[in-house]
Amino acid sequence: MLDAFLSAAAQLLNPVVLGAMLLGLPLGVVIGLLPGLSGITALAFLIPFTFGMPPLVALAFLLASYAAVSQGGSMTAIILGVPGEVPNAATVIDGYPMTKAGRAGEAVGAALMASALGGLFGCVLLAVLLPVMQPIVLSFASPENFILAVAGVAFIAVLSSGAPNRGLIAGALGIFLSLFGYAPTEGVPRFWMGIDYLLDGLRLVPLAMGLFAMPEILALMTTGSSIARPEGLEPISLRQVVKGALAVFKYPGVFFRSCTLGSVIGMMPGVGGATAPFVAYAAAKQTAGDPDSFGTGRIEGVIAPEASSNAKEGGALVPTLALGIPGSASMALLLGAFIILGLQPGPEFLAKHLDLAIALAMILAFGNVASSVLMFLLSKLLIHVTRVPGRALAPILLVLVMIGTYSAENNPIDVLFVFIFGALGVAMERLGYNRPALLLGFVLGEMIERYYQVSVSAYGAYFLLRPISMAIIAAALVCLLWPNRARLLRYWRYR
Amino acid sequence: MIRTLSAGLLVGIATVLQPASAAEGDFLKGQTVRFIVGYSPGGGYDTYARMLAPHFEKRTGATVVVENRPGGGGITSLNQLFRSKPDGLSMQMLNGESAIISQLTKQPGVAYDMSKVSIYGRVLEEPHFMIVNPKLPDSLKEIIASGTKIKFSAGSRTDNLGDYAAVTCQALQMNCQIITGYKGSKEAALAVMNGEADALTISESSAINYSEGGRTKMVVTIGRKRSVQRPNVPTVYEMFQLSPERKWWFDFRLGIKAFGRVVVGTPGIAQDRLQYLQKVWREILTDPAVIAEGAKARYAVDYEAPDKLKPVLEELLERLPADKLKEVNEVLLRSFS
Repeated sequence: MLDAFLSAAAQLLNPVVLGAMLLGLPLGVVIGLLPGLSGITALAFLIPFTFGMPPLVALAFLLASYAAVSQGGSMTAIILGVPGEVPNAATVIDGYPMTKAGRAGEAVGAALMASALGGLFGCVLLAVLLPVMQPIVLSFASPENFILAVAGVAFIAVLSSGAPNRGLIAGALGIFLSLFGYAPTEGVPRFWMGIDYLLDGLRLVPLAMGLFAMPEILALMTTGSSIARPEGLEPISLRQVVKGALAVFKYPGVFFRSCTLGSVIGMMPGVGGATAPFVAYAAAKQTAGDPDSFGTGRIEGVIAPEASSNAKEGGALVPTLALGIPGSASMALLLGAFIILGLQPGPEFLAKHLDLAIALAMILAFGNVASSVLMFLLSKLLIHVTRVPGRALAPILLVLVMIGTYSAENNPIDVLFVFIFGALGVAMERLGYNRPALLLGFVLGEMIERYYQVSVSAYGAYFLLRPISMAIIAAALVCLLWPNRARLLRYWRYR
Repeated sequence: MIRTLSAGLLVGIATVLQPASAAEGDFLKGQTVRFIVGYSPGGGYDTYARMLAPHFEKRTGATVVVENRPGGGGITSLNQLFRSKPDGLSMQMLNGESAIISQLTKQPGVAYDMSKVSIYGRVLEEPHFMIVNPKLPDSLKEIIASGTKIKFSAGSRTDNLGDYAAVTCQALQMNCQIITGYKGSKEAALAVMNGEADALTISESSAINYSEGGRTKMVVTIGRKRSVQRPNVPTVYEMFQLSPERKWWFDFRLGIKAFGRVVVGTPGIAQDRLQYLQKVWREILTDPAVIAEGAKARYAVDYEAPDKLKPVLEELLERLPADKLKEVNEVLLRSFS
């Protein structure tokens, strides 16, 4: 094991490999800054450039840029209220109010530190688990995916504790929207009205962009003022960024819980990456002393999603390398790249190339930390964007959102749906309905349906009695009941 | 500037004045050809298209743009190709098996007719295997003899996993359950590895990959001849004495399998253009350099001519008796659930 570590480190210090990482980083940052363009787009775009490269150089290039994408995405989420990719939508909830209150520097600092350390956490976990991970991944099956999704839905109520009814309505609407298109198990399309586009149902990227980006763009357009009102507020300074970064250490509980959640969700092949930051956010909110102040600019609300979202990638590499089964959509693309490069991930790959696998974990860790540093250097520049008058900023953002959405699937109808969901987003914002709850319902609705039916077909009603299933149920219950523990105990004694 | 303009003008005039009997393939020179892929970038179909596109460009002088149009499991992109102009400037790297099965079972959304599309050439037909969880007995005969219900994992009933499973169960009269809902073949394979399902029918490259390290094992080749890479795994025809009626199911499914990954074009392309395109694709797919390039990246090429494929298609789509078609639909979509 130690030999493998040393061999991996030696291979990474090769100047060509280092050069490839340094080349990949800025590309990833740029892709991340463009709303709607995600890590998947980055990989799809960059994989053709790696043909003919030696495997490690190519993977260094791809993974470094991939790690940088989510950093860029969190920047736009905080500074502009426009999530760079879908998982960053959770960062908007508290990050953007912080910017409006003139605390952008702090939020950026916290996000960068949380993602860097979260990414590191995920990679360390990956490196430690590498030799033993096959049985771990194999112990997760459809029932666990189903129960995790149900636990996620329970968090919808948490996300919207200020107005639970409206939160539940929004979550239910999200689940309803997830029902469009092919039913996951029968393959029969629902509500498709003879329109080819709807065969695959409504898409996640236009939904996230419409819900989160469009209302902000509209607000910028109509008020014409800049995002941060400078009058009387502290100017953005290095001090603010450092203060935010240090805040991560003030909340070790939030940080480690979020990282663990992120890694576990990443490891489960059926659970989409968009779930992790929302669940981590809800868990942070639930365990805080005053959950109701979330959404008004709490720094834990930035730390939790960012840490979990980057820790997730280390976790997602686990099944990809151990079994050749991708842990997320972008890992599926990466797997394609491996095969093109002549490598076939799986148990034999680990036995033969353990050093290469560890080198990949190191690259991902380096990518996370280095892109945070890069973003930190850029942040002072980017924060000036918040002072640009809205009338000038709005059209630019609108174009970027449209390009980003279009490029996700090269489908112009997606752009149309950004406007449709944008109208929904504006209405929900005005009427006080919780937008993250809708997004979470949308992501989880499909998972619940799919894995419930698969679990019942495969195990019958006994699927709930699997040990890991019961552990997840117990963990979710503890998390949900934690804030009310005093009241519950009192009730118990009273009886 | 003026010189370029006049040069352009001359070229334009020359093009217009060219006699009708121009050299074959002139309709492609300098044109942009759309090479449609019904799946996302990075997958197998996309990689094939991107690997072959430069060779098409080199031979025809056209510019090829690979367009990814994921959706409907490949149905939507084929619908669009079916409706496009028959000028020979649109082609598709198609999952031929899936397209035929979807049409035969009248899946919602199918607005194409495979018997009308122009076939340019088959890129690859891969052998198929049944793989099982390592805890099951080594031989399929023993597995069937045990009488326990065999759970097959699949994405849907018509996704090249579910329909194979149904045909196998029907032909071998097995006690089966097909569990659908897995997201693609990788997740279905994971279910076999972790014991949630018992078996999966899957293409050779995946079967070999997933049986590495004893995670699953290959018990039978679903094909007429043994695979070159796994010659010790017997075929279903060798393993079982099948009555003609039961044998029909394998023959039927393997007939569709002959289409594999196939390059097709819009219906109704003028005969001279069609012949030229078919010739170009035959040259590309039989070129030893192309085959070697593919083999290096583990993307094998195994050409089959359109005139060999067309009769099979007619047999399946036009001459299948109504009662047999009904039975096919029953077995593929409803039995063993």
